[in-house]
Amino acid sequence: GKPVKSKPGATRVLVSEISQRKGFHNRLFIVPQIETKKKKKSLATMAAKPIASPIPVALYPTLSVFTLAIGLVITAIFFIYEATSSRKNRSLGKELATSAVASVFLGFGSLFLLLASGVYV
Amino acid sequence: MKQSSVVDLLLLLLAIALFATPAFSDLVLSKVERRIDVNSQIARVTKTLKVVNSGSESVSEFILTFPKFLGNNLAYLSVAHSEGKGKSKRSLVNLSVREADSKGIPDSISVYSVALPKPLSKGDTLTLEVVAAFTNVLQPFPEKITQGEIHLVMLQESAQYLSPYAVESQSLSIKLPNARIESYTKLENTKLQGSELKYGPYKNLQSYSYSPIVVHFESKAAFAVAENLVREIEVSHWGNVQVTEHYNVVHRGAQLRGEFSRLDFQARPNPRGASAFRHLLARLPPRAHSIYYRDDIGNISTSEMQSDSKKTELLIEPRFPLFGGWKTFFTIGYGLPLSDFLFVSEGKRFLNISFGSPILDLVTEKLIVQVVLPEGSKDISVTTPFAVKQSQEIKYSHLDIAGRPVVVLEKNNVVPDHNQHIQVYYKFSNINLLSEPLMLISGFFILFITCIIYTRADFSISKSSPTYLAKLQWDEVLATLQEVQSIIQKCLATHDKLEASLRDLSRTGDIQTCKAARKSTDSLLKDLSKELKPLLGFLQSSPSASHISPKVEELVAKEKELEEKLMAKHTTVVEGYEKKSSGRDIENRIASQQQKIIALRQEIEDLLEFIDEI
Repeated sequence: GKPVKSKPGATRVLVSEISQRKGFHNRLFIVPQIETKKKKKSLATMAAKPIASPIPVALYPTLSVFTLAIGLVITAIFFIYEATSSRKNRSLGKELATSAVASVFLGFGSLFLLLASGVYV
Repeated sequence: MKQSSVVDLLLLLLAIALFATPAFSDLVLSKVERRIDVNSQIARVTKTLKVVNSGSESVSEFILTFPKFLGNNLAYLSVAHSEGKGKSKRSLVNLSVREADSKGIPDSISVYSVALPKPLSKGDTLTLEVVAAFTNVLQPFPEKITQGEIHLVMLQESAQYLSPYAVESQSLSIKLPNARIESYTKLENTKLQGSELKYGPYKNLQSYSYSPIVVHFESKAAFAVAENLVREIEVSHWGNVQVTEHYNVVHRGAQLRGEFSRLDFQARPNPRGASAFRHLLARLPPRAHSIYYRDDIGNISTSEMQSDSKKTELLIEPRFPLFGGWKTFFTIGYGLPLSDFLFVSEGKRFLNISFGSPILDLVTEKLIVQVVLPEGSKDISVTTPFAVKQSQEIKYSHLDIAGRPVVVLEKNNVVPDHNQHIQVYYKFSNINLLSEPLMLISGFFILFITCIIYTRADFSISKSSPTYLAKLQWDEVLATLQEVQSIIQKCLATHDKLEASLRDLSRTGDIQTCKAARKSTDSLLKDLSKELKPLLGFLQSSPSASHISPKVEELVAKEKELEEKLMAKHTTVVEGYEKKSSGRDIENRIASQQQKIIALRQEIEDLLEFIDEI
């Protein structure tokens, strides 16, 4: 690995190298740390902001139900249009528009369904 | 094994006798206090060393030594020095330790070199705190026991501190578990107080002084060792960190000789089986959810969980109690909320998570930690407080195109002291999160396109068979019918507009707008009837529409009638307004017309419905 230079002001803990066998290859990739003159600080004081999901996790089931319902309704509209229109009168634009909107809602709905059921994709 | 360590011991003493070298640099240890804790399967040694530089040069390196049979089993070593005066102002600072060449030191000694923070000048003192953890040094003796016997182990150490420097004063205290103490080496200044064994203080010893002691005692600790632990930590930016741990646990204490009797094991009041352990306690982070405990057979239901705001405690019981030499394997998995472990600082994200196993008092012989980062993560680097072996892999999982990068960290001989936090740094932009729903959306869209192509494409094999031609004709008839329907709807709409204008007239009394509306509707209706003619002609001519065309003609005729009646009504109302006759007169005149209009409308709607259902 490439050697990484340590950043000034970084407060990470030291690497103590202990190898258990002779000829042990230590493919270390790690910052050779500088000693800290203070007690070990918690990371919260290091201006590290926690990251959360872009959408609150508690909303996943509700969102999935609503988007899937809307998606299925638009799919129904699409198929009804396909069934009732005659060959001459069918408009490709209308079909494509309906299917695009339906696939967007169905796509998001199935994603939220997967997330709500615990498969964190 | 006992044999090889005795040989080591003899070699050591021989080596010391032969290589009695003078003091290694001019440091002198003025006070050494050693405490050994053997309450668990790991021997934890805490040493406080007061170092004095009695020479003339400043020294920046300190040498720590262990006898080889201990050094080979060293799992964890950390050296700190306390700043500040007095015991109250202790702030520990970790120093770097590395294995050093043993130049001028006998081979049967492991050497570690500590880099001092600033060179120790002449006459200065420094206090060092050393913590070392050793695995496999508590040897079970006897090595094979039956079910009813107690578990006795043996510890070999040195009463005098082995070091390349001269030692002025030293003491050793061994904290034994609160159980039977079989025997211990009695030297001068040896005291046993309760379950604490004290050797010392010994004064003014030369460098490399060594006096072996052996303590034989009963251990009640569970000698649980995980031969193999694979810990997979999967980060998903949708809000979850999933940890899955696969364990192969073995009991490394005295082996079981003879058979296992369940009756004796569960007999009351004296159960036999003191050397076995049944439970393992795991301490998980708080807010852990979806915890499962299973193995290849299926779910293991003997587990208990207790959670509070600081930790989640999981007490698991394997399918059978573990005696010496017995093995079991299981999998524990749990999910953790993302915001507790993933942070962003200076443009880089990092995952701050514990390294070792959450099970307390478990020694891991081979630990593999796989951190699976989401697809699209770049510039991955890892920071650990101790040495690990790193490599990278790719894992293909749900909705992946290029695969997810995996950082694999391996370490051998891991003890609970290693259960500190590691940080994995990487760069990720939230746009890459969109690739997953986009994949699903495109999947559904392809489905719809297939439907469109299917309804538009002509899959018939023969283009001239009578059924095919009949189908074509029927399609045309349907198309014409739909057009007729739309035109009739438009006519009805204009009728509605006319009625609306009448209502406006009754409200505002404005005759001119009414007349204008009448004119526009007239022209509209003329156009619509013109459009209707060719369609009607087609319907009459085509043979497959023979049963429909009379209905359609009826519809058109009725519609015409409605139109005429409506026009008549309109004219009467307008005339009535022009003549300024009262509202009631007007209503009387159009009453009959109105009834007919309503009836006609109803019939038209029925016909339209009928056509719809074809």
